Amino acid sequence: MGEKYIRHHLVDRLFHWLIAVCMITLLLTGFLPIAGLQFSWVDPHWIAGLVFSVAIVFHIVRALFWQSFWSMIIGLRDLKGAVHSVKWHLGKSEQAPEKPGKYPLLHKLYHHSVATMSSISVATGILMMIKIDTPWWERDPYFFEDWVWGVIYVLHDLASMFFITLVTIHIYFGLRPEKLWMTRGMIKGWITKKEYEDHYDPSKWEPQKLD
Amino acid sequence: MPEIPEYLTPLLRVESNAWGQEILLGLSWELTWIFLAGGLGFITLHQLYKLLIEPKLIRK
Repeated sequence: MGEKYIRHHLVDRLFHWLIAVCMITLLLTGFLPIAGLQFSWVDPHWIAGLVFSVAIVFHIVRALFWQSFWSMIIGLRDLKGAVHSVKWHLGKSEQAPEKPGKYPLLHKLYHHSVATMSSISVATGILMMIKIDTPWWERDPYFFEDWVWGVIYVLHDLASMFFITLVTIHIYFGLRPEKLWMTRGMIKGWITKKEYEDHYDPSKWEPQKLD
Repeated sequence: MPEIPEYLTPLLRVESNAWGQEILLGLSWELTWIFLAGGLGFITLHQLYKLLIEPKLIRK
């Protein structure tokens, strides 16, 4: 196979698959009872939500202090690159578009959509835990006024429904034949030298070689 | 409790409490299908793009 480059470290892959399991659990325990499948869903739902929340906090800390935080920020260069890419595809520009760094614009947009919906669902989910019995406290449905609870539920429902769309699209791209090298990168952690050279600009992302 | 505007009620789950006041329960579950259709619709459009439009683009 030749040289390999690290795309995702083990800790980041574990984070990804942990939140994937949490997300599937949350969607199934959240929506199946609405679809008519009755089972005891509350405990697995809040436990998965709590694990998801802790994982998100871990990811934020890791992104801020150990990862390249700015590589996920959308800059003017990304937007100009997107416009240029469209022009090139349509034959309006002779010069091929620049290759991206580790995260192309669409990956950044997807990440920020997930981050926004996660923030809403985690914040509202934690507040909703006031209404259920847990090992740490007894439920208090009168903590907020009814209309405040209503707004919290609306926001939680909205973020959860967005996740149906986001997860569906994510799984679709993860299974597409031309994207399988990325999925392998998220399972095994590495990409080949050819995959790196084909898809990335070395001046924007210089990954570690795999020993 | 602030009143719920009438134009929003089809998008919400609302019920009356013992005093006849409207209580907001959350978003209408009917909207779930719209979000699912959004994901499946995106996949369909992308498949059509890959099948019909991308091969005709001047550069791939």
